[in-house]
Amino acid sequence: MEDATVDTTWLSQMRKGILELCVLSVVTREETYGYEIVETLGKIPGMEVTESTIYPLLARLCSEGLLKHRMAKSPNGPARRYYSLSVSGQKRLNELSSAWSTIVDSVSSLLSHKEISVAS
Amino acid sequence: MELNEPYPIEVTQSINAFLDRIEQVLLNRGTPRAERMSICAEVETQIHTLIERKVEAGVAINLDLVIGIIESMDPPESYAGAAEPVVNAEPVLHADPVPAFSKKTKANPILVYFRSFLNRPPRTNPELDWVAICGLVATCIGLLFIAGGLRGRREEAAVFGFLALFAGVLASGISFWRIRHSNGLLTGQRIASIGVLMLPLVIVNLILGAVLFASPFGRFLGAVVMAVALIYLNYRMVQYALHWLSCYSAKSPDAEPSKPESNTDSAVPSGMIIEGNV
Repeated sequence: MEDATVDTTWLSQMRKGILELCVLSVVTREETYGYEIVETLGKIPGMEVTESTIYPLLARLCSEGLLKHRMAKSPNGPARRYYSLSVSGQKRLNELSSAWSTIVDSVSSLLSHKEISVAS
Repeated sequence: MELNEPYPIEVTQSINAFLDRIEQVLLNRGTPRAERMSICAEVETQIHTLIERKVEAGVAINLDLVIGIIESMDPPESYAGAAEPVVNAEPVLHADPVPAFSKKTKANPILVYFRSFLNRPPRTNPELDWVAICGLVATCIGLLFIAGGLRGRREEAAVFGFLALFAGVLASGISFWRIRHSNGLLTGQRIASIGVLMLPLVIVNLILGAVLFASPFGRFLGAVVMAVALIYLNYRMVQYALHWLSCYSAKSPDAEPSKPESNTDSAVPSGMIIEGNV
C-alpha cells in the first residue's frame, strides 16, 4: 500500500515515464497479447496500470514501428493480436534500458549519500 | 451455451455500444483512425477473453455477465486522458456522434429520430422494466385516487397507490445505481431519477391537492400533473417496446434494420492487418 503522504500525481507521472520501457520489456520476453500485458503489469507492485493506459500505448508503439503483431484466431470473438518487438523496438528497448540503469544508479547513489561520478 | 455459438444479440449489442463509446471518446481526442481501431480491437478482445474465462468456469453467457465484465473495466471516459500524447493527430472535422443510419434517412430527421431507437442496444435491465411498469401502475392508481377522492373513496385507492409507488421507487433506486455503475452501457438515468422522485412528487401533489381540493383549481392541478406523468411514462413504454422489437427483428437476417459498423460480428474485424505493423 502506498504511503498516503506520497504525492500520487508524482507517482503517476513517474509510471507514465517508464511505461514504454515496461511494455517493451514484457514483449521482449515472449510474444504476447494486449490483455496479457495488462495483467502482467497490473500484478507488478507500484505499476498498477489498466487497459485504458496500455492499449493506447500499444497502438502508438505499433504505429511508430516499435512493435509488430500477428493475428491469431479465437474460438469466439475477434482474432487476438500477438505483439513482438521489431528491430527498431529492440534498439529502443536497449536505449531505454541503458538510460534507466544510469538513472537508477545515480539516484540510488544520491539517496545513499555516495559520491556521484560526473560523466565527462 | 458453447463458446463456438454466436452470442445472444443483446450481448453483442451491449459490447458494440461500449466499444462505440470508447471510439467516440478517442475520436473526440483526435486519435488517428488506425490507433482507434487498434484500441477498440484490444478492448473487444479483452471482453471476449473475460467471457471465455467465465464460460469455462461454468457461467452462462447473458447480458448480466457482460454488464458485470464491462463494469469491471475502465470507463470510456478514461480513454480521454490516455497516457500517451497523440502523435500525428488527424484533424477531426466534427466530433458529433456518427449517425446510426447514414443512408436513406439522411434527408428525413424525423425518420432518423424514430428509427434510431431500433439501432440502440437494450437500454434497460429488468429492474428498469419494473420501474416503468410500477410507475405506470402508480400513475394510473394516482389518477384513480383523484377520481376516488372525488367520489369519497380515498382510502382504498391510497393503499394500492402507495404500495405501487414504493415498489416503483425501490426499483428506481436499484436501476439508478446500476445505470451509474454500468460505464455508460445502460442508459435511462433520467427516467430512473424520475422514478426515485415519483413518491415525493406525488406526496407534494397530494398535499397541494388536499390544500386546494375543495377548489376546481386543485383538481385541475392534480389531473394535469398526473396526465403529464402518464404521457411521459407511456412514451417510455413505447420506447421499450421498440427496443424489444428491434431485438426480435434483429434475430432474423431479413428483418435486420441496418448494419452499423461493428467489430464484434466478424471473426476478423474490418481494418485489421493480418501481419506486420499498423
